[in-house]
Amino acid sequence: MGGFFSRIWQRLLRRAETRLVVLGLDAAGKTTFLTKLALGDPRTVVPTVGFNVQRLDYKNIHFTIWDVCGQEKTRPLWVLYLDNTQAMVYIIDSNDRQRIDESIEELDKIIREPAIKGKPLLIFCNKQDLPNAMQSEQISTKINFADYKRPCHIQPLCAISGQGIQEGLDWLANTLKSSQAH
Amino acid sequence: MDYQKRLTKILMKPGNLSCADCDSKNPRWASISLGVFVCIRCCGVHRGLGTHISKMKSTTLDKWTGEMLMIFERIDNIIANKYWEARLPSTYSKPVEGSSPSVVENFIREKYDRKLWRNEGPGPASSSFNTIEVASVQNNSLLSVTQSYYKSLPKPQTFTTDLLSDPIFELKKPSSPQFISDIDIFSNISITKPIENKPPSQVPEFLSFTPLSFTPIPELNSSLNLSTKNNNEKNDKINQVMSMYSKAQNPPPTQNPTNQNITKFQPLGALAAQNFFKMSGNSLIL
Repeated sequence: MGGFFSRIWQRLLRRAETRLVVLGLDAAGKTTFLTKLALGDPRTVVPTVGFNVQRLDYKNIHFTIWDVCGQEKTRPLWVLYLDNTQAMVYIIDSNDRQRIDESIEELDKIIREPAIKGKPLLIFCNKQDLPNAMQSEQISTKINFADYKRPCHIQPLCAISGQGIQEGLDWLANTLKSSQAH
Repeated sequence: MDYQKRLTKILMKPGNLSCADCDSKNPRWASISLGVFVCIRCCGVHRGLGTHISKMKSTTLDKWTGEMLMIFERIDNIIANKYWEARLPSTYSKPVEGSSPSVVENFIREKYDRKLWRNEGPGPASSSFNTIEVASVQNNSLLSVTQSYYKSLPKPQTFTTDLLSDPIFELKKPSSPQFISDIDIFSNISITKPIENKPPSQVPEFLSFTPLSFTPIPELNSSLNLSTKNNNEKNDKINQVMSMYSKAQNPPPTQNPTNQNITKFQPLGALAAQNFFKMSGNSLIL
């Protein structure tokens, strides 16, 4: 009996899979972020060559999260992962001050793609635990959010400890829900 | 020669056939700030250290610049490990290909982060970015060599003003006495352009590789001339080191860090320091 009701309940609440793509420069912490989400424990990951995919249920949303290699020569391939994507997560290594500008340039480039027009953008400023990390407020001043024309959120993160992941995903879940309700 | 060919040639050097931290064959990832080639697993650990310690590049998935190639044309894993593992006890067993991740991680952290076995004795231990920079310039370490090349790249947003106002830094005004006498040592290492029989007062050739145009600094040169005169006795010793080094494949003096390794790394380090002074504003020099 309980099983019957739960099946009805699940059918009522069933949603299509939400495709999420995680981008960012190499060594930004994309795979660590995904590993933390999926397994809950921080571990040393090896550089991604290709991509990783992970399914995750969060706040009644079925996420399929794609984590793509961020090495310089593979960045032109990012475009291919954007089809049917409902939201984009962009991770910046706040500790790598030399490459923050490069990271934002790449973001500016990819955000223009028509495939993700108007889709929510969540920016994680990762590695906030490191001594030389740039504050997320400081990074946000470098980003021209007005040009992006979409819901944006910038979130400090420490992917190893998991601090900031929940806040970011909460924002994403709420934004996706409200955009689907309309 | 285009970059890819140069890179392939670098990877074929005997020293670069196995990972600097474990014995995996054919490492394809490079730490451009530490001057080593490592395997993909060790690369993962290096990335975990943070870019203030180790900046990783892939030899296949990243674009390489002339400056990066220049570093690795001079440094290979053997040279780099003579520096980073100079005081590694002979009984210590380095991680191998099948070692557990925690063993590898521990080793790499101790080697590059805590710098336990560097050849110049325990450096000033600090995790803060600025102190590492200052320490490396002071110690003429590999880190300063490679990083100073990167200071000269088109995006120079690296040195913070804190560094310049740091009192430690004042101590090391351009006074490295072995500067000139060491230049010739380096010609033994360099592959592409051997710098031989340079008159001591001239600026070494490979400084001109840096994008910033280099002009000799009069004060520095005069002080260097003085110092070479004073150091004539030292030169004999250095020549000894040179000849040892050109005989090459001697194992590094692991137990007792002597001046040998230090002098070997001095030229680039001293030049790096000089280069750094030049770039970080003339106020330091004048």
